[in-house]
Amino acid sequence: MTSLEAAPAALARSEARTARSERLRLLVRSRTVIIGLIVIALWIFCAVFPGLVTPHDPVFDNQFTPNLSPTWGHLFGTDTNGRDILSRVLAGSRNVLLIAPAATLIGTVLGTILGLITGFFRGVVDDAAGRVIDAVMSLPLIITAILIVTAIGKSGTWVVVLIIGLIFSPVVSRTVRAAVLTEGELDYVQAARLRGERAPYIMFSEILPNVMSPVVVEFTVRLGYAIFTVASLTFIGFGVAPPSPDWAAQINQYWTLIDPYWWMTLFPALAIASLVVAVNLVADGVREVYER
Amino acid sequence: MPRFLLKRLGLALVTLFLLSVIVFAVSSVLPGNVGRAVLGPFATQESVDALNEQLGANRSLLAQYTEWAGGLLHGDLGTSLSKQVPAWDLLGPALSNSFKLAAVAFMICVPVSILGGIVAGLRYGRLTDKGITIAGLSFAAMPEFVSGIFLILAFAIWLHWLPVTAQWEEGAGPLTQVKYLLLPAMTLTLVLFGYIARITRAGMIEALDSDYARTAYLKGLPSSVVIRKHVLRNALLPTIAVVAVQVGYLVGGLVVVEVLFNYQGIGSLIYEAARQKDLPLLTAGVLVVGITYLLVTLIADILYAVLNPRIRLGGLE
Repeated sequence: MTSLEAAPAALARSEARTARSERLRLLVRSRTVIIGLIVIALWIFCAVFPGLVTPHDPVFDNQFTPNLSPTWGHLFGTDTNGRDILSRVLAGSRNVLLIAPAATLIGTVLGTILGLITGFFRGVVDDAAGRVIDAVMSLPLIITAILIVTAIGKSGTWVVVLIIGLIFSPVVSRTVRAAVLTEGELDYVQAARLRGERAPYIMFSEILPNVMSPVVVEFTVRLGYAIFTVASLTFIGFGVAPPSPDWAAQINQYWTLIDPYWWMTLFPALAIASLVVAVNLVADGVREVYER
Repeated sequence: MPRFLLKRLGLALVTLFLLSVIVFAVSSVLPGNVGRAVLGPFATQESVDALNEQLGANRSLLAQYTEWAGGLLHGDLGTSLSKQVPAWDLLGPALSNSFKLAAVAFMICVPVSILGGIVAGLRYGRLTDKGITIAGLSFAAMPEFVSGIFLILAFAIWLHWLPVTAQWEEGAGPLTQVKYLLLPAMTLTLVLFGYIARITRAGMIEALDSDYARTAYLKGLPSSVVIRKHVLRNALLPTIAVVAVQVGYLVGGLVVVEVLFNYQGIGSLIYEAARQKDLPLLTAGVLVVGITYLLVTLIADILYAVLNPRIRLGGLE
């Protein structure tokens, strides 16, 4: 008897597994997704093992003649402090690869919780939250971030992570809420209500697993925006000002010298471009696969 | 239609009120001690107290908000700490400069993006479509300062076609001004192109696939007429909504672009205010940006309703 009762659940589980492997198969079949994944993997490798990839030390000043334009000895040239720019670019992915995923994770988790609550309870809770979210979203991300950093009077890795996470949460909540609203109409939610299940149980154990698709899509898309925002904040000097090399910080330092020292700005800019484009190619592939 | 308008206007007012509360809360509550936050850790206690007295920051938050919001209703946005002039005297000219840049950006961006979207939609699934989609996606993802640097390098430093900054000399004619604004406007265009082209493309594909398009083809209309009269009209409707949201983005993207090109608009004013810890000016600037966004989206919603017969004739709320 027990095996018969367990059968439907096992069937549902194996169906879910088939769906997941099917999505994965579609994902790796896309050429743009593969290119994106390779670029991201390369930058992650550089961030984890900077010592293995940099030809010279990326931090110490006056190792070489300053302001050398690109040559065979220094493919990307040297900067005003006499450091090898290739080494600095290869070592510069660390901050952004730490901050952006952390901020996105916080934003996605908070946003999912908020979306579940507003979509599940609807009514007054939803209306009130909706208005506040409207008000927050009427300010551009960068401007809100500048205001908060100035108001608390300091910036730093975790300040930036928290700010971006907090500002992302309303955007994520909108998407999750829309998905929860459609789920709420379905029989299994009604059944759970009739069984007398408590609201948190229905939200997190019944609805959440069924709205994971939009949550995953939202995470990948937000990750691209997070890199965009971290880099922009660092460029205008409101992000992290690390002692370690950072692409946007390098550009912040050297872009006023762009004529004639173009190589000090161009190569970090290309590095940022490669990372954001790679993340967005993957995000686009993920969205296509999940929304079909 | 009137009901729709009233409802939309009411919502905008509620959002505006909440926006003012949020901006006030961030700039007055977060610092803990406003005077200390402005003057820094090394200022004497007396000067901190004096500044708090001057700003009225030593009173209850409710009293502070009421006075601030009351001032706003009379058009008083507060006084800049660093320049000691009414904030609006600085924000007004900066805002009009930003509008100038935004207008040039829009005049380039909207036609180019819509055209790109239409071409991609008509060539759905082919190489042209993929090229436009991936290029749009890539530039939309790139921070403005990155694409801006590529444009500066290409057009200003290597080709010498356009100036490096957007700072023209006093008394320059409108054409010269446009020339100085081209690079920043192109930077904004690159970011916006992807969004607008994408939504136009989606609208095109949906409209091309619709029953009414098939009927039009089957009753023997030439495809140019089908596309012009049936497909485009329906495909461009969602584009309007997206364009409006992007105007709002434009105001935010301006911070980075204006700093990069050294242009005296609202974005660089907010940036300067933040760097000098001029909280009153910063708060006023942020609020002005929020209000601009709300106004633009309000106008766009109304425009959308006027153009969409389903809302205009009162079928949908």
